[in-house]
Amino acid sequence: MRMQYRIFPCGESAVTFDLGDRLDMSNNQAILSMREKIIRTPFPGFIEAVTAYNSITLMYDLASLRPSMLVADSPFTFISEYLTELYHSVSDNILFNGTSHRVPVCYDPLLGVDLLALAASKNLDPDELIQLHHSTPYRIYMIGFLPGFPYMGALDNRLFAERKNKPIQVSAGSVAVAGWQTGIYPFSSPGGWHVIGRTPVRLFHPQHYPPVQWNAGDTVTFFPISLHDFLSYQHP
Amino acid sequence: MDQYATRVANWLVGNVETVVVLEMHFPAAHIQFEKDALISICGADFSPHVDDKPISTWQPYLVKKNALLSFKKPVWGARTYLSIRGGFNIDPWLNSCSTHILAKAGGWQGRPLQKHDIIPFADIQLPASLFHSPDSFFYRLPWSINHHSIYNLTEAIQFTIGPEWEQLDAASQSELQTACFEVSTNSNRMGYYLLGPTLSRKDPTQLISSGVTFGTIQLLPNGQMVILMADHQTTGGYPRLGFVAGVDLPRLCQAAAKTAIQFNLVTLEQAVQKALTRHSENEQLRTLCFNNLNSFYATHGCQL
Repeated sequence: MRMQYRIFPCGESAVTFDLGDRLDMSNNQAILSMREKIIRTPFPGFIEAVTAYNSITLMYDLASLRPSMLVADSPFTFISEYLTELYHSVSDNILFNGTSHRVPVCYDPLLGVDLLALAASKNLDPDELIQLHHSTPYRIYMIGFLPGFPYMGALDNRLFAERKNKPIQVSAGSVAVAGWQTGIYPFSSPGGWHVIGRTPVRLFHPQHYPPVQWNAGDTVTFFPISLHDFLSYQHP
Repeated sequence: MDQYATRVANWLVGNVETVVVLEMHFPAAHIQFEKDALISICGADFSPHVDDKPISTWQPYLVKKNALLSFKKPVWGARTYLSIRGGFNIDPWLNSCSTHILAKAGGWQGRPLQKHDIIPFADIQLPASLFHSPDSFFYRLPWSINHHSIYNLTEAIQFTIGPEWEQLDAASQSELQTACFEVSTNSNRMGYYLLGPTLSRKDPTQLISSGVTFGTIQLLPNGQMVILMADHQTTGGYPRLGFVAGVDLPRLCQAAAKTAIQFNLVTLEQAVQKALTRHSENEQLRTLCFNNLNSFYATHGCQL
């Protein structure tokens, strides 16, 4: 299915292709497939492609583009046509296949510092909230905000809550929710999402390549562990 | 941050532009060279001295073993770059020698440098004939780069419009192009927070996250703006009002806290042309630097 799209320049050295604000797995799949195709056969001057929920931003070195790519003093026309063709070539022919990950989470309120408050505000028993959170696998739509931070969806409607107005310091490994998304903070950071648990797994390994085990398009399934198991978790 | 200063600093010592450099803010380090080196300092002028004798920025210097480099006061600019012939011996991580402080990886042990750190660098051959007296620890190579036109902060920062520009009300669009904005003291390598008149969007709908770039001008919920800088997050959800023209990023990087800046809207075609012209000028500059250095070394009968 072909969606409406918008293409706009981000200054003279980048262009964004955007499928709009409606969150949708097939849009995301198309975007990821576009990226996959570009990095396999990049045009001269291509530097990087950053994907988000429904958009892909291409960054290029202007001076390395071929002169034929500059039409009326700008590469925008060429890059727009390139992106349009790319979209049409992938939208019926999805190239990208993600992998599955299982992530242990301890939902003890000592670690899930916002769990009880969130449950109360949603008129849910804390155990119900926990059950709703881990009983469904989530798609990683994008990585952003922090290295390795996965933006995942879609959360059960009953768990929907706006981000906090004032972010607080959040511990590394914190599993959190906001809106229809769930995520995990790989590093200690200020955060405005509601923290409902923590994973003992270390998510960012500088000494490994790649340092983060997951990518956009992958699936994550949470499974609950006890506080005891959290504390005695052995890192491989 | 300041890619122009970084490149020129490298070219002045005969390095290609991608060689690792040391970025410093004020107060900057006291650095002792434990062996001979060919260096240059580009970017901000923090009044560099070698053994308490002043040296110039944007110029190459040969320094002798035991020379002590120090920076006496912030004269102009926000960040300065030390380049060294052959580069510092830093193991790349993810294809870069830059430091990622949050991840504690990259650069020198994943952290800013500290007192007593010893950073290795390549050996060079120093023409012995240049140092006439035992007191002279440096030799100034006789060429420098005139960088002033690149960094004139009295000129407005050029920008092209962003996808949410049309969502600004007319008064806000006008304010952005006429008012003065101050670089707040909260600014850092991730973003420059600006203080100025409040700007308003006609439509308050939140946007979903999308890729952002170095130079993206975003509108914050409080009506103030932030310009994303070198260490920006890869994605963001704030409205994108515009994008700073690439040619003006070095200038912006040297705008220290409390500097007042103004903005000037340009077309995409103008931004492209300026970028290509700058690139062409840079290529000439690079060639000039390399030729000068090669001739100098040939004249003194030794190899770079």
